[in-house]
Amino acid sequence: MRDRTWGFLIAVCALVGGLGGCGEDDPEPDGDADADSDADADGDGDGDGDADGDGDSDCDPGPACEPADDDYRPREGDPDDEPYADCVADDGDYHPFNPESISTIARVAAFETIADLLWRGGTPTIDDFTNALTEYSTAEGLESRLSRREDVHYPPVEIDGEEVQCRDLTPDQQAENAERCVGPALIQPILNDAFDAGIAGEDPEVNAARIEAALVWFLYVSSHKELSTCVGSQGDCDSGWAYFTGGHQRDETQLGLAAYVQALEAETFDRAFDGVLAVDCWDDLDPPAGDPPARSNLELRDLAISQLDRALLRGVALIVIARLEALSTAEGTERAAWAFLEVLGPVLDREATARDGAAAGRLAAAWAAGPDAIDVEATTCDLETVFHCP
Amino acid sequence: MRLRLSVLLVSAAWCHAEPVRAEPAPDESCDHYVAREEREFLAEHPGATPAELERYLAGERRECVVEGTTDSGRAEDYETTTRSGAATSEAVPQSSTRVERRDIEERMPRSSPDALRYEPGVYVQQTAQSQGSAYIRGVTGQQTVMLFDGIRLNNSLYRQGPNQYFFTVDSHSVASIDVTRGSGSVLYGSDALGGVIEAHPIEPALAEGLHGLRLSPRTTLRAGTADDEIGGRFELDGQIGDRLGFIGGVGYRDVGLLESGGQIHDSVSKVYSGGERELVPRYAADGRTQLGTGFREATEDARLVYRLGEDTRAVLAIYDYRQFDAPRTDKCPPPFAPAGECLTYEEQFRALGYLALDTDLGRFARGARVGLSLQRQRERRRMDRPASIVDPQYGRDTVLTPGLTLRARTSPFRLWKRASAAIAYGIDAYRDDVSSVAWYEVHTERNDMLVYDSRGQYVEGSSYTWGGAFANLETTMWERLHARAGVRGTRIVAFSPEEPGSETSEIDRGWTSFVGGGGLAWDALPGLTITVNLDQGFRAPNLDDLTSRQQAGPGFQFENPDLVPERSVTLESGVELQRGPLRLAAWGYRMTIDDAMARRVATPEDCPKESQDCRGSWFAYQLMNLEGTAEVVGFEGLAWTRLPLGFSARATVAYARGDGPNPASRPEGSATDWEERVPLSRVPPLNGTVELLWRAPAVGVYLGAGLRWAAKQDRLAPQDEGDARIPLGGTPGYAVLDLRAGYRLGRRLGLALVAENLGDAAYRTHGSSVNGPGRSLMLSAELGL
Repeated sequence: MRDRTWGFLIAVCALVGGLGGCGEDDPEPDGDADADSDADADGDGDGDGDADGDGDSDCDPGPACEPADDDYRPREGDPDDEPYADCVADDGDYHPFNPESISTIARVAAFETIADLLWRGGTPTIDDFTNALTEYSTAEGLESRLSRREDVHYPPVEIDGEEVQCRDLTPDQQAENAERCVGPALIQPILNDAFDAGIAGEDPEVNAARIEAALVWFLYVSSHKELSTCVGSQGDCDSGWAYFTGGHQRDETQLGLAAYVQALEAETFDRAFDGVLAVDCWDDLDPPAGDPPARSNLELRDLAISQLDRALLRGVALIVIARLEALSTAEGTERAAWAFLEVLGPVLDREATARDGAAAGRLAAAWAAGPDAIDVEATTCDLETVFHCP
Repeated sequence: MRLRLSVLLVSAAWCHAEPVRAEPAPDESCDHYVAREEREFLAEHPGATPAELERYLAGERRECVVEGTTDSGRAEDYETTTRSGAATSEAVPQSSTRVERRDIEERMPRSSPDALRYEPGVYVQQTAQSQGSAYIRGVTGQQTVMLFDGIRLNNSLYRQGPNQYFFTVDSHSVASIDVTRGSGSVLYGSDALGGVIEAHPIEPALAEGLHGLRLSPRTTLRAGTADDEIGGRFELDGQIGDRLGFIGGVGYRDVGLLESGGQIHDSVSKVYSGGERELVPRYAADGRTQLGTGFREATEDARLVYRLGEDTRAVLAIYDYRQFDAPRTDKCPPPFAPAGECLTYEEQFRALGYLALDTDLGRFARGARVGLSLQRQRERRRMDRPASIVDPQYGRDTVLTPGLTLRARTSPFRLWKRASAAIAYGIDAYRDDVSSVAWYEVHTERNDMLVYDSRGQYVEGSSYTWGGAFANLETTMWERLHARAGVRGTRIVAFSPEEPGSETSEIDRGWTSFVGGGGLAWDALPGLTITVNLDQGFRAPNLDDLTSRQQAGPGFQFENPDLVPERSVTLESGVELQRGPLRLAAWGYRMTIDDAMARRVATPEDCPKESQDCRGSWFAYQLMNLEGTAEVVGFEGLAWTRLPLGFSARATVAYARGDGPNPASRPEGSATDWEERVPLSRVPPLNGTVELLWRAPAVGVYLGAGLRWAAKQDRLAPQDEGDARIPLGGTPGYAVLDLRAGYRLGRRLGLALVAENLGDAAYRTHGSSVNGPGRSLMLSAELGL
């Protein structure tokens, strides 16, 4: 079974044009190529694989997905205990380090408040935008963190050989390092402009959609960043968990990014939550020790982060796919859907390029094509294929 | 009449008459005169107690100053260890010292709080370069009382922990500052748990027998290299006839970024469990210059004194302090925030005006003072966030405080054959009316708007009213035993209206408190006095405690409308020796505080629902009354001696150790790091000073060296662990050496130079956001007529 699985995986990798894009942490399709040739894109096991739901898709994103052997799988009781030994997260819950002081929960709650004001309640008014701006910009609120958010997928900025944090850079320097300095250089300008336009009464639904997409982008980057940096600050683990779920356990009502993902594909949400628990497990297994305190098993941490990010990326891709569907089927909201896609679609370019250069090129072209020229079906298929497994 | 023209002051001085000198010799300075009087008094009264000596000298000193011989008004090399100042009993001393005008001129402090840094038991914390808060016996801010010429400065917006308000007393307008350690609640009511600071203003030189007009202008210029400070003051001292005197001045200074001796770092490494953490301040590229420092300051004051009779005078005075563009260092930028973000006190204003009548109304009201005062404190804060379209955000709080004080004492009366007594008594009443608002602005090509928050840091329309009365009996028995016993009753009413938009409940509460205190002093030997005092103190929760929502140093603090007053009991004992050229004082104390107000860590769920900035903060706090008793124990000591050849030496040492019940509840399960009692927040470490001075009065030259030192403070309260001002592992110890030199030619010329921090030490006082200045120079030049 395993031999067949690997054989199929290699074949798929070759077909999609990039062995380098299939890292060792990628999930394992279940290997039964015959049985699963009609891919189960939504991962729910029903094998429908029809992203746009119209039943006539020609897209074949690949076989159904299975967790990788080295993934942390608490829902299965982590069967082989490798590489994760028994740990606190085996009970399926995230275990906050400082449960009474997770300020991120308030920021995700603010996201929900903004959502109610701007994109869940019909066409937002100027007052809605003003109230949303108040919520967004309050001290210690979303903007306070967004304005310094770095995307740790990219290397730190160096000036004269010294690592420099984005917050200490000038706006021009941040712009020169926009990928790393994603918050101040890329996301914040979008939000500034969208709030400004919304308050001025311009295109309320379009600007609400831009705000939504920018904040979802921020939640994704922040979940990944905080869980990556809790090596030195255990509170960051709590923040990462809260940026994803709003501070909730798996069986509770989710907020923020997790709510989006769960609504679109339950398995992807569960896999992302598994990733959060993988970090929790690593932290339990590799506590700070020595003087100065340090971790000794960063390989395991990297494995956990990789598992998490794979699922998060699948989740973001699902959000984009859903909005592509809205672009093609909903009437009267196309411009808003496109505004959303313009912001969140390119967020996937980095990973798409790493996994499949050709598909990444097509995706980039799609985001540049505009709402009338974009091939929704092909773009959806590329997303389903590149971000097939959580 | 003489007419003098000053090349620096574009003004003329008309001196219609030379001041009449009653007792001092014609060319004798006031300093010399008082010193001579001291020697003569001790020769005539070898068994005199320190209190008796001080009483005598105080009268001589007042007379000397009034007669206008000098502006110093103090004995040569006189370093007080006991005072009979307004804050203390005249019979039974408390631990008290005085900073004189000359100390201020020679030490060149950057502010009034800074002027106290050589006082034992006083430790000056700075949240910003433009702020300073004096810890007295381990407590500060709300738990101490600040007075200016007998008028209470504390108002109900004073926040927990250190505050900046004594910085708003212009040190140029101050003749002396008394620091009294220990409870002063009998005399000064709420807040006086740890001590009392009273600034005494400079007085016009009101000479008898003068006809016509006398004007004596003076200009002082000052510069510093550590922060590029440049400033000055023009002052005019005058008299019209022999009844009306006046003194006033205007001042300005511009202070730049403060260069420190280097950075302060965490002393331990650990994976921090409380979330992200970063020490403040942030530094410029040189690694020494501290961002979030600098400010501008303008001052003006005017004081009219009208002599109504031999024992009666009326005083009309106004003191106006205006500070501009003063960043709060720990929020400029806040930890982790982009470099351009900054919380700035755009306006920190305080104005005090009062009309006072000092008179003698017979045996039942000697030395009476009746005062009507009006104060206005205004803060306007601006939060700059240049990358946001919400830029800036503002908050503005104003408190207007009318006040009434009446104080007097009876003539001594006989209790029995060998016992006499006098009663000091008084009433006081103040009311704070608060205005508070917060808003943000959006200025873009599309929009130009202003959005108000539903409430400010406080609730618009809040008020705080308090009134009290006290009586303090002082007796002397068998000549060598002195006793005092006093009582005060105070009624305080706090009101804050409901504000539905922020889910703020109405507060309408009142407290009546009675406190008492007493002491015994025994003149065991000539010059040697042993004292024991036992005093109650209290502090009612103020509007800041009850209603404020604000980003404080360690995190966001929100209101607790259910607080009750904290009450203290201070037991202290001191030994003071004043013999010839030697003065020693040593005091030990224990202050217990019941229902002490302290910050507890709150959960986001505890935050007011409408306060997103509370729920979004890394740390949220709410004040609570501790269940159990907090205590501060410690000691302070002072030694002063006059040495041959014009030298004198002075040393101080102080230590306080504070702890109290853990504000956090015992967690469920078997928590290993939870402790029942924890240190109180930001109690200063063991610290002290050493000074060596040489003066040549005949030629007006002095030289000196001052050493300030502090041990490491690693006793941290739970809230200190998350405070970006305090390094992990505690604040390092330090030793800072200053050199001073100067020259004075009477009123005409004064030059002062301080070479500060010769070792270029990187240091900060515990709890501060800002490090002390690095190696630098300060220069002052004074020219007068």
